[in-house]
Parts: sequence; C-alpha cells; structure tokens
Amino acid sequence: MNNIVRFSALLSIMLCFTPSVLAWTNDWQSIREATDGIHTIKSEFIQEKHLPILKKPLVSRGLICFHKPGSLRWEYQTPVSSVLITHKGDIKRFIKHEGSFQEDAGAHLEAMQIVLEEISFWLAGQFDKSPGFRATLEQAGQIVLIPKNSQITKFITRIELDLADQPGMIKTVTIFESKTSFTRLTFENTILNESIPPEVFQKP
Amino acid sequence: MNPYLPKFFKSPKVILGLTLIVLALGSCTTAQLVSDSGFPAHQDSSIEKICLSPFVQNKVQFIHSLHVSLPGSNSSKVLGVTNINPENESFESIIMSLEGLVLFHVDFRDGKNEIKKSVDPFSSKAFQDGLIKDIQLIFLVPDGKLAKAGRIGDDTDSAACRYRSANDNLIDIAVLPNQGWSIKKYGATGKLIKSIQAIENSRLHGESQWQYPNRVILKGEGLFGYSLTMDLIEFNDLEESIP
Repeated sequence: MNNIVRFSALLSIMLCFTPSVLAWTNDWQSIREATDGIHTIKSEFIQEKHLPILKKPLVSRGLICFHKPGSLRWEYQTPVSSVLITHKGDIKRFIKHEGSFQEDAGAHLEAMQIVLEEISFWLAGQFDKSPGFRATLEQAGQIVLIPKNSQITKFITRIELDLADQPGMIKTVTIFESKTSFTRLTFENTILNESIPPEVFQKP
Repeated sequence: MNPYLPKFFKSPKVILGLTLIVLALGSCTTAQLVSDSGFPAHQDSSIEKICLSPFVQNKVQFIHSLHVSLPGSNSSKVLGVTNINPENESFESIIMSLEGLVLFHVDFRDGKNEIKKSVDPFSSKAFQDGLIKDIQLIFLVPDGKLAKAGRIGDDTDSAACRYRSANDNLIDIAVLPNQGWSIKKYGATGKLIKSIQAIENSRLHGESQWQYPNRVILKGEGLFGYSLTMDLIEFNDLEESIP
C-alpha cells in the first residue's frame, strides 16, 4: 500500500512539474522569463562540421563561457586550440602556435562577430531581438533563424536552435551554410550562474 | 540598414590581415639563386622512385591546420581540407575558419579550376592561382623532365632529383629516410621562389605504409615572403569512396 501511495505521489509531482518545464519553450515571453534569472553560463560543447567533401564529420571540442549582457568566450580545445572572445563590443581571436597564444591577424572575423553577437542574444533569451536574423518559433522547442540580409547569407543561410528541457538552456545549434554544409554544436555539462572571473574574457 | 556593415570596414587590422594574406600567397617575387654546386652528379634509375615518395600516390583526403605567418609578426590560422586524385592530378580544396565557416572552395580538374565559393579576400585571382600552385607543389609529382638525380652523401636510401619544367622552372627534391624531405622551386632566372620542408615524417598512413609528415612548412620567398605551417589533423584514404 505504501508503495502505491509513494508511486501516486511521485506521479502527481511529475504531472504537475512536467507541463511547467515544457511550457518555457511555448512562446517568446516564456522563453525570456526562463532566461531572466540566468547571469552566467559555462558549458562544454562538441562541434560536428558536415561537408560533402569530408569523408566523415570533422569533430571539435571546446568550452563556452557567457556573462550577461555580452561577454562571451568561445574556446576550442581540439583539434586546434583557439579562443574567440567578444567583450565590450570588441571581438578577438587568439590562436595557439608553438605553445603560446597569439592574436589572429584578423582575417574572416567578421562572420564570427555576427555569430557571436547572435549567440549573446540567444543566451540572454532575446531570440526575437536579433538585428541580423528573423526568428520563428516553429514547433515546441525549436527556433529557426533566417538571415535578413545578403551580407550574412554569404556565410549562413539558416540556423536551427533546439532548446533543452532545462529552462533557459539550448541543447543544440545547427548553422547551415547550404543544404549540405552545416555545423552542429551540442552543449553538455552546462553550469548556470557560477561566478566567472573577468580574466576569462581577456587574452589567454 | 545593415547593422554589421560598419563593423566590417572599421577594423584596419582586419583589412591589413586580409590584404597581407592575399599579397603573400599571390607573390612571385624571388630572392635566392639556384646553385648547381654540390648537386649529386651520378645517375641511377631507382633514385627517382625515392624522390617521388613524398607525393600523393592514392586518392586521399588531408585535413590540416594552416598557420600563415606574414611580415610584421602577423599570423592567422585556418583549416584546410584537400582531396587529391593523383591519377588525373585533380583536387578539391576547402579553406574554412577555425569555427568551421567555409571561406574558399575550389575544384581543380582537367587543368581548370571551378571556384565553388570564395569570400573576400579569398576571391582574388592572385590568391587562387597561388593556392593552386602551392597544392600542386606540395602534393603532386612535378611536371617537367628529370634533369639530374643522385644520392645524398653515402646514404643509399637517400635521393635528390632536379626537374626542369617547360617554362624552365626548376624543382629540386631531396629525400632523407627518417629525416623527412624537402622541395625547392626556382624560377627561370634561377631565383628561389618557394621551399617546402617536411619536419616530422613519423606517422604511417593506410595499408600501403605510405608516410605523410605530421608537419610541413612552406615558405614563399620575396618581398611579400610568408610561411605556411601545415599540421596534419586527419588523413583519410578515399580510394574506395571516390569513383
């Protein structure tokens, strides 16, 4: 009898809790509210690059650190060590060569500046406020972003964001350059609202 | 109005970096002169086989990180994917940012290149011509006739060969077993244009036991001299997957 009571209680809790968890992805207002209490994010990521030319996807791994409103560190650990930092509106890439980090001469940063600015919007839950993309909430848990201008479509034709069950979190980001060329990022071991020292957003 | 446009053009560092890469990779200015002295004089038909061992022998795929060092301590790193078919000397190559955005894509076959994607400044013809020549020099057997061949010192497994192309360019290849190999290209006036050095030659690839170095350094000589360090990330045999 005790077991039945316990099971019923557990079931009641689940039934009450589940709709509120899922509800955060239903509309922009709910998404914004779910991210309001998030000030910092630290997460590991696995990136798969898919290209028709590749025999198998190229896999990279790294870490992401975000501090509201717009400080972001995007670090690749394998196969090539590099750190991309956007802080106070400035973007810099540092590349590891012969054991030490040096600032990248600057080529092709403009595309990544667009991506990082977008990511800052996403992590702040402001998907519908992006200046560069038109966002639609296509089905529960998925947001599709389409570029508004041709400067961006040179690099990106579509972005799909799959929201996690945990309120305020993104599970995967898929950045399409074309129908057959895309980059998929899967986030894992995410930690919210842990203190991030300021030097994380400075030259490594 | 596009909110990103001002940022594209406001960064002098971005413009400088891009311009230097294009100028460097397109540069053909030369400085060093070729020398005949010390080149092995004795000929042996088996030597050429050793000289050609650094070049791709099957349909393969390379994924490299490409670290470009430019004058003035400027440097940049990108990823390069190159699929090569030595049978018809065709190749397909992609350059992408470290984050995976494709910046340049070329398909070279039957002596012609088809640019499938190029983002400025990679759309410059100087860059495209320079890149195609670099890929051919690094991976494919040189065109032209064997002019000289010999051993290096007393090492019977070593070899050095000189090829002369139709336009009188010279390509010298030196192979020292367990120490890697080097390639030097000289212009018709005898000045050194490019040199390639295999730094590590320890990794075995494929069932054929064909070796390809973990690191190759290409240097372009001249006013806009540059250095390209290619570190091997992945190597795939495409013999079965490409018709």
